[in-house]
Amino acid sequence: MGYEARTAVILGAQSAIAEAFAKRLAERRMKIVLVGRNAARLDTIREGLLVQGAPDIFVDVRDLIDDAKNAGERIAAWTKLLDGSIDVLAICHGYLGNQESAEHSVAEASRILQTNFTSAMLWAGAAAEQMERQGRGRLIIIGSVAGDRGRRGNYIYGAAKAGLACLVQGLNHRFAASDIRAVLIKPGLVDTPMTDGYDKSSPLWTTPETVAAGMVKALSGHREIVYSPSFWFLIMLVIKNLPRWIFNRLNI
Amino acid sequence: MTAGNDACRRANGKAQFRSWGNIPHCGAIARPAFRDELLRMFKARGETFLAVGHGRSYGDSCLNAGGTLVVCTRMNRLLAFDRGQASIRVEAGAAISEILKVTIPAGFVLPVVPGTSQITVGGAIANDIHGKDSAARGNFGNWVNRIEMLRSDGEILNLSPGDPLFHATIGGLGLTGMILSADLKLIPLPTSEFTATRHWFRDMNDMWALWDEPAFGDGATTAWLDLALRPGSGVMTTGKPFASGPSHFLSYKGFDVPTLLEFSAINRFSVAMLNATQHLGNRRREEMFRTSYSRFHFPLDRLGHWNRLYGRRGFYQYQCALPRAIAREAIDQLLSAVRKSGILCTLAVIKRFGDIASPGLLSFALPGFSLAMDFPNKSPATLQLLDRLDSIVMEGNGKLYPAKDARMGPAVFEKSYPELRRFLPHVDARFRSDFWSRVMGHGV
Repeated sequence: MGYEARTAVILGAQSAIAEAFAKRLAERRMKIVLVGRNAARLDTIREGLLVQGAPDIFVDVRDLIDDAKNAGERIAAWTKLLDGSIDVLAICHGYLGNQESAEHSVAEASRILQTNFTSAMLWAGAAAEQMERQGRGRLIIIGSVAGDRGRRGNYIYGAAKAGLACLVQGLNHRFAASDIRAVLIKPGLVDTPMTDGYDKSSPLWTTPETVAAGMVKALSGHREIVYSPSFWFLIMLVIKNLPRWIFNRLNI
Repeated sequence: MTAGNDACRRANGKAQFRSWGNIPHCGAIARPAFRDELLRMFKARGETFLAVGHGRSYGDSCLNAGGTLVVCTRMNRLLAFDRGQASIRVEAGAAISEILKVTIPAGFVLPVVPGTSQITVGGAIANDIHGKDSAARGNFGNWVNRIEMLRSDGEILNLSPGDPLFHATIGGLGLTGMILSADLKLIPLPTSEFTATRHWFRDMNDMWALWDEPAFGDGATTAWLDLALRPGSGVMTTGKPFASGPSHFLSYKGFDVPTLLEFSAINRFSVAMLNATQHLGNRRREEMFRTSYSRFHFPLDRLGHWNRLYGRRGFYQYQCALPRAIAREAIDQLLSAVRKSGILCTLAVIKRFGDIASPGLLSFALPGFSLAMDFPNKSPATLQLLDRLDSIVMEGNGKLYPAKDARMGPAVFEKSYPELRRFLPHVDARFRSDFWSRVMGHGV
């Protein structure tokens, strides 16, 4: 990896992409803090990562939405665990939600926004401050192609993910003079428990391992926004530029 | 493949799970990633279950029409690796490739591996798989120290050699419960660099003579037979690691067949072409070459999802084990029956078993030889041929291999596995497979 990293914090470590990413970092013998809600699941993941080569794995059981207001405190605690520096912080937690119920239920719509955007923004803010103190760092956030253009089937989720793109751009503007970078990974269709309700027979579907590999590559690269797999760049370029009178008639 | 499966196939254009012979599963699929999901699942649902891995069983031993398939491949973590004890604990969904990726660089290897690295440990145990070096090493079950298993009543058991349920679970085809994790014994591997020898033979007498030579007979050896182009000829390959050198696990990433073909790409012409490439260089008679552990042990991984080339109708594999005393004669009879029928056999491989007894009650291994043949599923004539082969195998006191089977009947299964009576009390009634229903005479 081009960027020298020894330590990482992974928020939403139970998610399939996060676990695949953590596995890659463990192979590079990095110390990792796993953050999520389910202690038993995180412990299982921890055992797996130690075998893959990580020298030390810490588990912090947190609700990432409720605890977002204490982000600064938590980041300080994790920094101590990781020998004084968080080299990589990944924000991987997300909630697909149900578009139909979100259209009628404020609670569901709020949950989609809180989980995917607001809490991510608060954690990113606290991480940014810590990385500015360190003088270096990589902040990697999982977005989605759904954020590239709102569509009937998931525009509330899409809106939250779109917000992350603007957030990452702003952070990079703030970090321009330093060795800190924010990266937004935009996966397409990924075969994970979150998407198990869908028909996965199309060749567009990819695996969490592929997205994780893209995330590791992005850490050393220079891009701000990385599609995973890369062919989604072309697909979304077309989708983004379709005139409304065509797009709005499509049944996608 | 029964009428029921044909109906499922017609209705189910995009089946979410198929066995390696391209037979679809008709029913629900669960893909848990964590243990707590499993426990909740058994409590909540009333139908039958079957734990499966990557679907590399050729027939219907990994299918459960009308019930739920629990695909365990998301539970593929390595939980502990003890270099001092040379043992590793893994979740049952971990694939052989995923394990070797960690153990080979550390100087260790699984003693028994099949021709593909894309199978799960759960599947390896449930079928008590064998490998090229089973002559010296025995079966997968010989190297299992402990099995952690979940029964449908929610109880989690830890089984070790000596427990009757341990011996029922090895080769137990997933019917005794769901394997959660296993402790496996490893052996040292000095390097992943292999030296291999290829010997071309022109007739079967040559081949049998080679099996008597210690270099071939006791080593990691397979004999490939050319039944399509030059019947009687073939290539025998054996290999072993060098004394020292680097250790890498290179999972061979070649071309992958992306989707199930509508029609079979495998026919007399394509098989003749493929077999012709195996004969290239045969004027040398014997050749030594350098290769790697993964290229040597996993020839089936060179082309990903090659089974899809057989198209929607799929194919059968017929694999039988024959006792040493009559193996030569029986194999001659089997090959002669295939030749007389005129039915295309696309692949034929012979492996040797040694005298190491497996701990599994329903283990396929017996001291002698195994013959495996692939047949495209073209017609009822193929099934008739397989029935004729059954009578030859049964006459020789041989047995058929459930992991490859899609059509054997109750009589053949009972005769193949005399320990069946001791096995039956250990079956957990909430686990079921299409294979089991057929061989128990329940119908599908």
